[in-house]
Amino acid sequence: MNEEASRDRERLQIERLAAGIAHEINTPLQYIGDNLEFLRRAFASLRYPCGGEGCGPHSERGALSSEVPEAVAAAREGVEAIARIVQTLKDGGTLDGKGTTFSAGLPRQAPS
Amino acid sequence: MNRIIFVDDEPRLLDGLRRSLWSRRSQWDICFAENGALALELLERWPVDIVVSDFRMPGMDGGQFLQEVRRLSPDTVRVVLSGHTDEHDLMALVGVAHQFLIKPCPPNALVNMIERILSARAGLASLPLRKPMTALEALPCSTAALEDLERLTAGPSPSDDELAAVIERDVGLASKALQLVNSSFFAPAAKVTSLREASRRLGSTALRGLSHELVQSQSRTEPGDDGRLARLHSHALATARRTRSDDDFCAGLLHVVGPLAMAACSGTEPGASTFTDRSAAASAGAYLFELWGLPPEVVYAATRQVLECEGCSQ
Repeated sequence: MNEEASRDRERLQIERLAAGIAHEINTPLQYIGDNLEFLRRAFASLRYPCGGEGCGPHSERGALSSEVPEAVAAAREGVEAIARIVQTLKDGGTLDGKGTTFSAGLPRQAPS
Repeated sequence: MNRIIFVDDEPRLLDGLRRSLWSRRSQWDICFAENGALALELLERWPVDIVVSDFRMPGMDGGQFLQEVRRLSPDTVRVVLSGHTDEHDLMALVGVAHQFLIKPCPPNALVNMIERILSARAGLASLPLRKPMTALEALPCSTAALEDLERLTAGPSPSDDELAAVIERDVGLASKALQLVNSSFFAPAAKVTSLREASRRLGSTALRGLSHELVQSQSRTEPGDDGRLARLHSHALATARRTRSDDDFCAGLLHVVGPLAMAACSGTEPGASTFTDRSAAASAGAYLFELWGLPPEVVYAATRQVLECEGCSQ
């Protein structure tokens, strides 16, 4: 095969793989960040009850603190989701994005 | 109360957003929908200020969803928050979305964007003016400029200067390029006001897609047609060419955005044609700049300019 064409195909494959990884990883990254932001503010309200989130009616504080364990769990799930994606790539598997399949089979270095 | 809807097929993402926006829940009515159809049901029931939608979703994708939002609720601002957007996706969104955010988007960036849009909406309280401005997909571009851009981007690697020279000839093209480049997909850090820098970041392929989309979807200013649009275009160019810095050039070019948008809507929106005074045109322009996320210095300079401008009312 023409060398240039094969290089082009390789480049295209890598681009698609990178796009697939970006798409799969960025969603958990978004909710990990959001949950951590929530926890940061929730913690501030525990330390400074009248300057932070929990300032206000008692029920507000109750609602806030009941969200805390769920936020921790969600952030952990996000980390696990990313770990799974990385593991799949290491195993040479495929990522099934939303309606798109990304081949993770990278062209191997030719033996010299 | 201002109402905002977030749409994403991943429930954990929606939960995360709900928590990160916890402190705003007494100020904003924030709704969440796991698909476009559910969000459209909400939109049919209540007025909604902003929708923020994922792009890649099973069933109706973000582009199709935002088209429906525009049709059902033209006064709702349309934002994309996507995990990955390639140039092909972007072209499906270029007319219909006001801003393009990429995940992970820091909570404060999201809140700032929402606050900027809501305050612009409060500033343009007149619904007969705000509705056609929010529904507007793009400003009319000149056919000649679009054809030049298509020809240039079809050739082998045009330089940034060559690309910028075509874009800066047309207010519609220039404003679309700045809107795109100031979204986080292309510009993760600093705000861009130079059209050369915008060309560099967007690149030839994206610009080719842009000209292609605009040719298909656009009302255009033909040489010799009605006159008002063409007059505004050449007035903008003359104003911009008298300036020295990128910021001033941009402001000079963009100061006609309000009058141009109102002129473009006057055919289809009879209500909009009654707003011919300068302050209405300035408010309309300022509102569009905020929807597009343009840098504040350009918004300020362009808005001040149109208030003092004699050329725009001719």
